[in-house]
Amino acid sequence: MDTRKLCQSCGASLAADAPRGLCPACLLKVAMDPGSVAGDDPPGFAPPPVGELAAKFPQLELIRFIGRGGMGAVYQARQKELDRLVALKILPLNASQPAAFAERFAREARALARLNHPGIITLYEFGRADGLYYFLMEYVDGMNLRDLLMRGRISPHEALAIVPQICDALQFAHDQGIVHRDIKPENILLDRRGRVKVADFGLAKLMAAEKALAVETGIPFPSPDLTGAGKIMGTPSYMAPEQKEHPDAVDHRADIYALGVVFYQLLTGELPGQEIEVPSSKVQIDVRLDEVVLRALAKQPELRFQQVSEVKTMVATIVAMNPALAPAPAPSSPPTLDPNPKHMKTKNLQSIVMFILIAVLGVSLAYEMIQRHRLSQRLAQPQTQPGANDLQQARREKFMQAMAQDRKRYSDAQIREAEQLYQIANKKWGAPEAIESLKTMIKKYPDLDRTGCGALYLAQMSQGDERARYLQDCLEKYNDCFYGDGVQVGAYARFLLVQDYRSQGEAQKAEALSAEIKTKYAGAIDHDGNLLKDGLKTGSN
Amino acid sequence: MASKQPAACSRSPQDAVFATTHWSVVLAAGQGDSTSAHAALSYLCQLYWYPLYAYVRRYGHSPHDAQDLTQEFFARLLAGNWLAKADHQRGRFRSFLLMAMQRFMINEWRKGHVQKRGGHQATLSLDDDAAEHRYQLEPAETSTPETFFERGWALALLDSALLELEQAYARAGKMAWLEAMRPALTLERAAIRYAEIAARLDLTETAARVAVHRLRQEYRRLIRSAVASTVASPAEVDEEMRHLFQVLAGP
Repeated sequence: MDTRKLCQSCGASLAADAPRGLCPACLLKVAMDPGSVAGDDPPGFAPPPVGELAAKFPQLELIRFIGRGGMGAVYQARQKELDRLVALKILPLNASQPAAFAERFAREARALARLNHPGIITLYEFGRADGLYYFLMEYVDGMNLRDLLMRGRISPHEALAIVPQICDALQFAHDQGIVHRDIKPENILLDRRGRVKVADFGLAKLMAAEKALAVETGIPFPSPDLTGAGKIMGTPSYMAPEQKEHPDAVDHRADIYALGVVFYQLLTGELPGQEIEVPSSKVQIDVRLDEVVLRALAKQPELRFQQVSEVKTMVATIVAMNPALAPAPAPSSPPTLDPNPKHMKTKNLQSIVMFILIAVLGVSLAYEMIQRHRLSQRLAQPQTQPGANDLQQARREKFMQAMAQDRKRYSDAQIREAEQLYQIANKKWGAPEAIESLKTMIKKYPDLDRTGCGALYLAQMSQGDERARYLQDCLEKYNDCFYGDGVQVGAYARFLLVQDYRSQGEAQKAEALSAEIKTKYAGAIDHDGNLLKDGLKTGSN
Repeated sequence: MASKQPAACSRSPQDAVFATTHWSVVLAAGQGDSTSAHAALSYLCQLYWYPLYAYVRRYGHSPHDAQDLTQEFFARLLAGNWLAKADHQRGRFRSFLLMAMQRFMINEWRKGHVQKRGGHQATLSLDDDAAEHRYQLEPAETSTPETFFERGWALALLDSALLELEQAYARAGKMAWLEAMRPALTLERAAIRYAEIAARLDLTETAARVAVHRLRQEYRRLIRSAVASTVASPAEVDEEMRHLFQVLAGP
């Protein structure tokens, strides 16, 4: 025995006061491992020892055992010929299944091998060696999200750097018709440069097929008392409701739900409960992220994002509007100088267009609801408790219904077109193309400008009669709409009108409207959160 | 697992544990004048006094002073004077204890209010000499007194859970089983040598697997309940565990 003992599990050297000679960090880690709380060690699949594997894989130099999950055991190895590090995964499959399964396995594996994407672990080789089904895969030097979560709270910055990468990988697979079915922190790896690599695509399906066959043929695997069955089919906490009920009938939207759970967990450190508390009620984050998460977690697949790329777009939009959230310093673009004093500041214009984009995606309404909900909570502090949840629930439902309505009225393609028109406006903002694009959008899909911020933007970008018309729209159609950080369209339009009247020498009209803002819209704010009446007092924009 | 519970009894098992955990009892009692709160507090102090002693030592006090200080601190704490100040909303016993000690060191100790050694009523049986002996064995790293305290705290927590585990196995006359399986408490499942355990205990390998499974489940339950007794609400258990893991695993 060494005088200086090392932990057999993590390799750290053990201090003299290690409890019972055991590594304290590993003691705590084992107690935390949520994967094993449900059913640790169902007697069944036992990962073969490294020594045993070496004999079965003569082309590999087995280095170490990395870990195991519901999808088998993983080892680090080196391909001798290529001198390349690889991960060897031994699947918990019964090699004595009939030929039909072997064919099925080969077919699925071939599909997985075609998943060539930087965010997806590449499958190099698959097959059966001496009674074991195996995958030979890209080796990732890093850790998985579960490890990261266990090491402590992940910052919103980190979460927002990770999630879009997962979206990319999933979208790529979905485009090829492959659903992951078991997205969870264990399956999302991060290499040392922070790049995401999604592991175990399609394995859940393979396992399910194997289990069904096992029942049919009576050849039990991995164990006679399939206590681990739930684990093999997916991971309950991350499973979409429809996946629990009809595991065979899930589509890519089950992955979107699971991604929602992971996102929630990255932001809050917790799993969403039965009654989902919005992440912003737990941690200080941009409230607009709440809606991204809630929509991904919608119980009905029709109410979720329909494509995982939409999640990425929304996250990107929120990050773009809130530079403080940006994972890395955003590439700087020279601010466009605009001599016209009527125009708002660059930042504000950009925010408006960004918000329009979000409106298309249905978030502004939710945001507005949340803002109002918060306000109502503040106002009715003493008795908020019993009713608050119902109110929140009712609003969430209303929001979901509104989105479902959009989806009934417009096809995905139309919604995407509207979105693209806004993207153009956003990219070229200030330029004539942006205005044209926005006008087209509002003409074609008037009710997708739900919060009226498109009309408000156009009012600010146009002159004369046109401007008056848009301002009128703001007052008539969107008077009570809110967007952004609580800017009320009607109040802001009045604020602009006051400026117009003043420049036209209509002092009386200007003062009347100004008085109205002070009385009727006393708390109204501009895009920087300043009270509008202050802006009027000083006469500044 | 428990997700299918009807709404009417939506309290999780953790909630049930919480109704009686020590720190929540102390917090609920507020002024600390109830007997159950006093008993709960004594229990917690008995478990966690050593990290506090080590903190005071690491702070630079001599063994003699540290012993006095710790004794006096606990005497006053148990007299119930400070509990009213504990943050009843989000208090963790760990933070409370450290903060109370820091305050005590600044306000009380420096003013020279501490009674001479032996003059106070010892309310806890603190084994001063054993503590100092143990302190001498601590790694002489250059950690701050605070991180030193937190590490000591995590170790005390693990110790208490392991001790309870031992007592349970001893009661069942299965100490030999625990001895054989103990290494399995820190290993990844795949790395557990079931065959070895089976041979040592003269069991079949399947029986060894079942035994290890039970051991690990019981151990987890004990750790969780030990953590639960030091936080104010069930929602904090996971976060506290993560924090302690970080303390132990280092940056």
